[in-house]
Amino acid sequence: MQEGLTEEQRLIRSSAQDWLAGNYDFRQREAGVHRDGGAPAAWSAFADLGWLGLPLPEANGGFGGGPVETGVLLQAMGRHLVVEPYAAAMQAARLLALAGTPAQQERWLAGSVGGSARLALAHAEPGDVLPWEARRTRARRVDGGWRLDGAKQLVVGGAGAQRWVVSARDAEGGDLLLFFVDPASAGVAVDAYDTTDGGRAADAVFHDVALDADAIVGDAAQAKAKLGQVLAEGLVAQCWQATGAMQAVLEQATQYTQQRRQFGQSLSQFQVVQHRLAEMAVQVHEAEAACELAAMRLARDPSDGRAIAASVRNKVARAARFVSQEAVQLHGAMGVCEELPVAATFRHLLAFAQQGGAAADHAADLGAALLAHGGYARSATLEETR
Amino acid sequence: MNLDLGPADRAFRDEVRAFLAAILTDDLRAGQRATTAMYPEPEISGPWQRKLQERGWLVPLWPKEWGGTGWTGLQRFIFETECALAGAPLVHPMGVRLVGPVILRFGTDAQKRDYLPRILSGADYWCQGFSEPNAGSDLASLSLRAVKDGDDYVLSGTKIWTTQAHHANKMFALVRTSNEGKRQQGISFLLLDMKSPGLTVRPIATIGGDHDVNEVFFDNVRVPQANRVGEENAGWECAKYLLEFERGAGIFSPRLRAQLKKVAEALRAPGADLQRRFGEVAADLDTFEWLELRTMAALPPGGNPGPVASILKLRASRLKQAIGELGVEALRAGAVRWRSSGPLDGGLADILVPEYCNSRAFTIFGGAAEIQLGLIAKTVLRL
Repeated sequence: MQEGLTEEQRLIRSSAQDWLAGNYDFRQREAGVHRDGGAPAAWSAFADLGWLGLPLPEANGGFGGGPVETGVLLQAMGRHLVVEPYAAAMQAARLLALAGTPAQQERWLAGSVGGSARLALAHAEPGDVLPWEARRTRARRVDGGWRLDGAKQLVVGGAGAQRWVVSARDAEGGDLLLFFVDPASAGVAVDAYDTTDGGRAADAVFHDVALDADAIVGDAAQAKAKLGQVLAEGLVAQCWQATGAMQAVLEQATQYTQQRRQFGQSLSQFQVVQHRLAEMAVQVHEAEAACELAAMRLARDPSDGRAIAASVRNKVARAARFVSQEAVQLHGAMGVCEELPVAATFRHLLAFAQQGGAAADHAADLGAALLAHGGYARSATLEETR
Repeated sequence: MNLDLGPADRAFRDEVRAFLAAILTDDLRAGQRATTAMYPEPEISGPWQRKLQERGWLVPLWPKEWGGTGWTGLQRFIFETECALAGAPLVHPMGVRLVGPVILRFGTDAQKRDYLPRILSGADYWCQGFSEPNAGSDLASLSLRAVKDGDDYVLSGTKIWTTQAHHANKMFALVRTSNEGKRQQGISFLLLDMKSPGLTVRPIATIGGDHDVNEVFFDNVRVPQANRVGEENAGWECAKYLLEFERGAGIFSPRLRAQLKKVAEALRAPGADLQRRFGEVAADLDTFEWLELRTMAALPPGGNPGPVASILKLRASRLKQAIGELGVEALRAGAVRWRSSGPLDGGLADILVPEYCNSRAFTIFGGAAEIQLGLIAKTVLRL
């Protein structure tokens, strides 16, 4: 067991923090907000820094990083409220690396790692509660390929991506399938919009969209399990990012209350303010621990992803809500102005908590599963693969 | 960063499992399960302590020459986890974990020879005389007087919230030997006999209906000065050292998981809301378990976890309360039966209701939640 970061993980973290501090402060960040998928210059810098290859296997030109390595990078990104759709693009690339054919990987992953071809994952659908549920989008087998019908929502980074990986059900067999779709194809109606956190996403309606036979990603037998793993990885990764944002906003709130004077003393001298900050610190500390545990459990046993993701997602989303609300409160009226990072962080954490399944729904899912199979009786840390 | 146990730790875990499988009786398990106060009654903890001592596993934190195990923090965590998951009784910590290390660090050779073997054998059962009616979280304001008279101190005053004083034959106590200087400087650390003339124990019935704590009155109780540990007026050093063990050496998460298991039994027909809250509590516990393990595993032998100890204390106590609360809600109207649960609920009301009531004490004792928040503000946030 190793409870701290490895040398390599520390290096990833410190180099990410250094680069972001020098190139992505709150003013520079504005350049990426409200443009399709963030600032192009930032994305190519991510490629140059090796970040776009971090979670991919070496065989695909990546660096073979696991959930902890990706996590520490995303935590640093969260501190700076990075708006580029890094986590979402990496989910699509990971899915391709795990489930795609060698030809598909060769065709798309080099460009993804190099920054010239961005991928997006189109999985969520209107009416979703949790991401694990059955898809309503249907794929029909036709001569020479497939036809796709359905709707997807909240494709983060969807606008501006070269290809989407779209989940659907086989209209005959009911199996889950994954397809490469060019969002510019005939029959795809894309509606792109700004997201609460300053990023961009898209909804899309697919009406009898023609897909070639080789548009199917890998083989159907693998698709469901691999998609489940990647969804869990994505949920865990977003938690790391949220935790970075929470750490930053706690520091900001601490500093602000030390500077701001009312009734003849700094706000931080009032016990009620100290206790609020301490409660925030506890939750930030816990959120980080939850991320570490989830990443390590995922590395140990990816097949348990649904329960791992539900646990961390619920924990971190509850903490995110508390910390972001308290941070605004402690900033007083300045907390509700866009001028300071606190409002942007509030919205960043709001977007985090509302996508990929709400905290309460993940908890209900986890609770039902634990009670059904007795998993609550096992240690979360020491129990090895069942 | 990874959770994988190395071969040595896995072998250790298997050894602990094998020991528990061989030695843990149904009576001992049932005794721990029914325990709703802080510690099991002596008839449960006593036999268990003897079994651990025979195996050489009673005092992991002591030096090896006095029976210590030399375990790493991770090994201690593995041991506690396996014990709790198997339903083993909690060891009564007053002798082995609290006063023992203080005697080892500050005691004379004679005190070590007198007391340590009797702790190991279980011949002495200790209680802790710290809190007073006017000295709770502000422990330094304690006022029980110890006045020198010949070779003795003469004690008058009151101790309160003294856990299991009615079972104990020995007490370690903080007493006031001087009113000069800083409040912390006039305190001495004494070891005394509960049979001493002038000492009376009065039970206090608590919110959970247990007899766990007591008030202890001292009416000119004579204690030999030779029973003082450390220098006169330097008892605060002993107390701080002891509190480090009390706060830092505790491993809470395995016992919290054992409590959650009992709550799950009561959740036979949970509604959607209780299922959701069970999931939340489980997520809280998983997180806390890692927070605690990562702290323990990084700790050198005898090391102090530092500021994170306050975070652990606060979270452990709130989790205890959250699990307890879920337990009574799971019982629904069954929680109204007081000490008369029948076959319909499998006896769970007798366990879960007092456990919930008693859980309210966890954010009060050992430094109230408000004290911990103040410490976190000071040490973690440097306010």
